[in-house]
Amino acid sequence: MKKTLSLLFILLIVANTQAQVPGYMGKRFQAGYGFYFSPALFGSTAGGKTIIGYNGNAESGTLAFNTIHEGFLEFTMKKKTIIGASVRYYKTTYDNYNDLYFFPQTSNGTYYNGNGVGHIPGFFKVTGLSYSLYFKLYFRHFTAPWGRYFIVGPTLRTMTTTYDPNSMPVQSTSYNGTTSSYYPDLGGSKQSFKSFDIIAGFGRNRVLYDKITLDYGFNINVFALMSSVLEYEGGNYASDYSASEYVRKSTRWRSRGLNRFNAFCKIGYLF
Amino acid sequence: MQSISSRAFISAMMVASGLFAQQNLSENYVPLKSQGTLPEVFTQDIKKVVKQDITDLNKSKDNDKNLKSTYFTEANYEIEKIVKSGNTLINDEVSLYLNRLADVLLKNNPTLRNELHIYALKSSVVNAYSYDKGYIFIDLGLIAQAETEAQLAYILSHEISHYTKKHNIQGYVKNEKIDRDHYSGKSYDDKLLEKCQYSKEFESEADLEGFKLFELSNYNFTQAEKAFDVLQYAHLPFELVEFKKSFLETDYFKIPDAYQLKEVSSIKNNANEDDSKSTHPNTAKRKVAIGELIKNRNNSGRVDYILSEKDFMYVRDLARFEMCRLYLKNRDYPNAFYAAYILEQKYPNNQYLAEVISKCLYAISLYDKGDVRYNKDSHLSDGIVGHSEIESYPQQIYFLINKMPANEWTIMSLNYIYRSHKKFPNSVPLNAMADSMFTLIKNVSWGISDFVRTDQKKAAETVVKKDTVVKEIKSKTDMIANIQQERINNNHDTAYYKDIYLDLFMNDKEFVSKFPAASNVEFTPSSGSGFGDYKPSRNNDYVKTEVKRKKKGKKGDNIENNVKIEKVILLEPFYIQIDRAADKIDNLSSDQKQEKLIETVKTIAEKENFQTVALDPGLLTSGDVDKVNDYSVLNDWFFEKFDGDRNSDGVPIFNTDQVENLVKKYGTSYVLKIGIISLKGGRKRTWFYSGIIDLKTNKEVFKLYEVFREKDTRDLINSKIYQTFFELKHGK
Repeated sequence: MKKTLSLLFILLIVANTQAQVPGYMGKRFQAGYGFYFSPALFGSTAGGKTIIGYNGNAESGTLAFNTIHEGFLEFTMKKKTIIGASVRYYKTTYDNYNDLYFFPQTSNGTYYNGNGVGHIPGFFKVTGLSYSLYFKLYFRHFTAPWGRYFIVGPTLRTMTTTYDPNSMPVQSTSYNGTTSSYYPDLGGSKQSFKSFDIIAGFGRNRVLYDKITLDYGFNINVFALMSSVLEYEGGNYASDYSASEYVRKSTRWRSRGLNRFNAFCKIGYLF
Repeated sequence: MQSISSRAFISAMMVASGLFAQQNLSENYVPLKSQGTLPEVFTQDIKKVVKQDITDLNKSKDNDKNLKSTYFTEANYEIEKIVKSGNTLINDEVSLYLNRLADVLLKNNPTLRNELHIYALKSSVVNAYSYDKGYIFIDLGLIAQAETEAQLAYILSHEISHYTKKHNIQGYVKNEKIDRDHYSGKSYDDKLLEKCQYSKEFESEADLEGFKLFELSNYNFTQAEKAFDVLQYAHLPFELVEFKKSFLETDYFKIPDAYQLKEVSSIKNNANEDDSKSTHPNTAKRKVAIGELIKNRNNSGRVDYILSEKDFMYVRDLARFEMCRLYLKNRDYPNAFYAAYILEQKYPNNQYLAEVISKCLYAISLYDKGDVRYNKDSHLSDGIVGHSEIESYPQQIYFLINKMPANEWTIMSLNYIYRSHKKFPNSVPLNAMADSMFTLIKNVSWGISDFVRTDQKKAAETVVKKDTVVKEIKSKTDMIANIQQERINNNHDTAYYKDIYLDLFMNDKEFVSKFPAASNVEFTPSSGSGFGDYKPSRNNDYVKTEVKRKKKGKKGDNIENNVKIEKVILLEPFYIQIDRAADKIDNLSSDQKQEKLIETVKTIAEKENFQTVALDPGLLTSGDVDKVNDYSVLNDWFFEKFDGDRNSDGVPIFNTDQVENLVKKYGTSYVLKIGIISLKGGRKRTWFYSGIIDLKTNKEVFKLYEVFREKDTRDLINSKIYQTFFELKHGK
């Protein structure tokens, strides 16, 4: 950490003592806060607990938004290129019951209590951190960090899910109409996952009073968007997850729901 | 405000100190320059002036306050624009003379005299202008045409009357009311006629009121009437004299009679032309009206000159010399040539006139080659017109230009320019032009061997002493002698210009050394003019031309990507904001934004250790008169180069020597121009331009021109200015 800070310090000094450097009037760094939001559409059900809007769930007809918070640091490399790094954070819950079907399949391939399907009540609590390294490429006529740009870069999404196994019994109904209840083994009560993605998008940078940057636009997580489209079936997400992979897959589904498309607004300080 | 006595004292001091010692025009002419202390208009905050005018207006009981407040805004900015344009002469010999005339006219009205600010304007137009603030501008074109001091005094009286009668503001209000009248069903033509009628009434009133003022002095009444003759024939040169081709001839060069127009057309009399759509009554009506006033007045004892005839003639000659410059600046080479020719009759040994004529000859040589162009946007869109479109003696010059083939013109031009160079060896422009002509002559279908042709008799009598071929060729002169001898033997040449350089070849080592050797002539025959494929040298050309500029990159990219510059002359950044709703420039907003732009440019330049020398009339103090003159020189250069020429390949000719002095003075040949135009209201648009011209190479070395579909925000402007300086220092 100490080495990293020293390196950053040296970089700052070098960048600001050079005569005639790219950037906004010679200022090359931006650091600031970003606010991301997206309409809570499929895969976004959160039981009204983490998103803007009461009972937020677009699938039930209520307008709601997912939100993500970001801290970023950007450096103007060239006249039309910025390299940036960001950490995005979100904390959400996931209402399995309303969104996800569970095919109660055992590990040896047989179903609990016949071929019934069911819902698992209760919430997952998902905390996510996404680490991105990205490039902003400014369009013709514009010069970094001012103007319209295209953003692209790799991102690593990490997410941690916690839940209470005792609040998640499966209510399964068999073919003959018999309903039974049991607690499947969904794994540990705290599980962490990672996934890789590519962010891409378009934005617009403004500079206010030669010091404050305002950045707005939208971006997508390419793989998240693609898989969401491919896996979406008629309003509900359907799969035959086994109990052992239920938490992992549903958490990632929720994470994709948050990240696949976002509008953003950032405010930064130019130095 | 200066009083008459203090103004007279300052003038006297200037004369006494030798500042305005009269020029010796028989030898040379030094172009007019502003002198002394700059007037208040240069240093005052125009926004405060406008604000004060409007405050004063609001205190009055006036029904047209809105219109008049708009007028005050526009008029103040227009006056400032004219005074700071670089074309207004301040405290120069001509302006001081005009002020002396005003002193005579208003000797009994010091209050009015003190309200007036009178300046000569560097313009070839025959006109004068009066503004409500007491600013009166008299074109040099008008002074050059005036015949007597009394005529000029009457014209000045007329303009003073416009001021005293507040015609400018009244005319504005009236025109605006006519334009805004949407309910009367009047057509555009009806409105135009109404406006013109109103304007004519003002002019007639100024004629009569001006005469009353004129009458108070002791000037000859008939000169007031004759002043209208000056206006009547303002389209003609200031004098009409026959142009004799002998002017360009020497003992060895006679221009064929076929190139001389013997009978010239008569002068048309348009005194009674239809003036219904004119802002001024026709001159016949004006002359009659003044004639009626004179008829019953006693004119005895009245004089044409109160100050002095000598002073008037001198000042008029200064204006006429300036006319040569102004015609050159406008690329009006035939008129420049003719004006210089007229003056040359009076001042045959004037170096400046030889330079003007040489520039005309040189420019026409380039014009014939297509290197000086008049495109459709130029005020001379038709180029050099046929002689039939001209009246009287000037036809002869037009006839000669159009009749003489291009190669012959080039041959003749070299002859005149080189001989002028020999006559005035200290003239830098003549020396440089002569060198350029040696380059141009390469493209003539005649090589050195052709120019040394001569007939036996002349050779025997005059120049050629040798009668045998030099066997051992040691020099170019030996070669010439050999070729001559061969030509004598063959005796086959008949061209009238064959001997044009004969004496120079034999007696002038410089000429021989500079004249391109036959073996070096690169000539590709072409049909038509006889010129080959002219590729001007970039090393020794007087004017650095570039026939086809090699463009790099796409539109909007820099012309030279790798140019690195660290010092520039910053020529008046401009900011124009157009109000779409009002369909006109928002002067106040533009002014504020321009101030901010200048500040930003300076800040960024300083921050990045970029050296700039500001030549901006908006940033001057009262002692910066030299900068006004330098600004004027550069402005003229840009006008000539870019006028109507979007490709910016224009060839500056007329003040290149002055520009070279500026390059030495400021230590850089790079001139940076930055400008922004923005639209407000409706769709937003912003145009940003920054460009650098290298005065040495006559080339645009940097250009950033971009259009944005957005508002002219601070970050847009700052980014583009920073980008400009960044790319200048580092290349693209």
